[in-house]
Amino acid sequence: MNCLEFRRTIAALPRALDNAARSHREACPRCAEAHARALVFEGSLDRALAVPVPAQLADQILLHQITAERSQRLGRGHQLWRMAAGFTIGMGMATVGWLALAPSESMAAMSVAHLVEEPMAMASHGAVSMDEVQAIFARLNTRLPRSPGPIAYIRFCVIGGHNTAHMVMQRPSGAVTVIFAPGVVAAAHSFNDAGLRGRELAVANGSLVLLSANDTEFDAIAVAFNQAFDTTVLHRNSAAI
Amino acid sequence: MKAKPLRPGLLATMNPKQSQFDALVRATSAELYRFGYWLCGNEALAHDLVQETYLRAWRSMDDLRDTKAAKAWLVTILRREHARLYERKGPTSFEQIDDLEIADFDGLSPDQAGEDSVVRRAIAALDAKYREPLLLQVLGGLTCEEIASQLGSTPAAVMTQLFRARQKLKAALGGTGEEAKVYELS
Repeated sequence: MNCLEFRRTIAALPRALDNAARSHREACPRCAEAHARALVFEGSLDRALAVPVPAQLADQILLHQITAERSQRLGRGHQLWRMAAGFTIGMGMATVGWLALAPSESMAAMSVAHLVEEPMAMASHGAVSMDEVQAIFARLNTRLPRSPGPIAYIRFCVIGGHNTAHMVMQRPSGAVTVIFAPGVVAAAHSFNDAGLRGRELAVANGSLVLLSANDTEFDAIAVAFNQAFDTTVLHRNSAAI
Repeated sequence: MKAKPLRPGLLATMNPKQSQFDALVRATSAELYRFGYWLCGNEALAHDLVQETYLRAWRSMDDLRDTKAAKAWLVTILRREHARLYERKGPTSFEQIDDLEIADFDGLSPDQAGEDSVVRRAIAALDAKYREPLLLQVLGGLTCEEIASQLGSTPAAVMTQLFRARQKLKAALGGTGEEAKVYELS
């Protein structure tokens, strides 16, 4: 490679020199200097092209994708639901029983949808005090006399028109989202949605929805909440003390 | 025992496809946004363009056989999205950027910010046929062959466009002497 060829190369591909160009650069000081200048110019190009990227762009993209995916799936689900409803209306009393389950199913679905609106909650590793937990439950007109275990995040959220407590518990197998919705009728069931394992169950005066990447902790958390709500457990323990 | 944090990010432990997509978005979205920005010259539009690009990418994830080719694949989708946005134009269309409004960068000295602003205006003023291959190379990290494939051109023609793009930029930046001379040999 001669100087002319080298200069043409660095004017087009300054950062991708082949073996011949590298050999020439090492043998020719003037071309080595020209290459150094070319790299300085590339640096100014890099800086100029690096326009500011919106904050949390990746999270916004992922949220958009998950929400779109979910809407698409819900759309398909709603279509099936309409077909099923049409069929069950003709089935008389069976329809009534089926419709009784519908609100609890929608609470689970709405909880999943809500989860992607607060994605950072799952990464919370804080330690919420029992006072804060009880204050949120007081807003829900619900007493929670005992702690259900360490809570890393809690917020009063309105989900699908229902006042709820949105909690996150960090457990050995990963983060578990717990949503308590007082006044919601729930039939216990498990589900998979948006890549998450879920379970809904009736506790105290409402419904508890558990969501996580796996369901290893669901049983323990369900027991803990049942005991936390159950004032008789509290009294029994107090008596034992 | 301390709970495992969610990594690489949002609902990361969901399923392999979601995890792969999550990692892809986190690794490439900033550069793709910048490419989108330079394609349309508008921040909000670039944001929408990138979101739609990744949504299409998600729906076609099964088509991505070679993860090393992910960037070129995303650039292809983004260019098609951009063309779709403007419908009337083909996939090689490229906007002329007349009005650049970019927020000042934090942490840059006024001199440096001023210098970058001058370079940005020079890039924006480049003819589209020179600017696009340059962006594909510098922002997209594409090779001449990949750029040629994107533009429906040949690697040799791309080399010439890249060469001229830099030549014009240097001249526009006031390097009328040594820097702007074609081979810097005089």
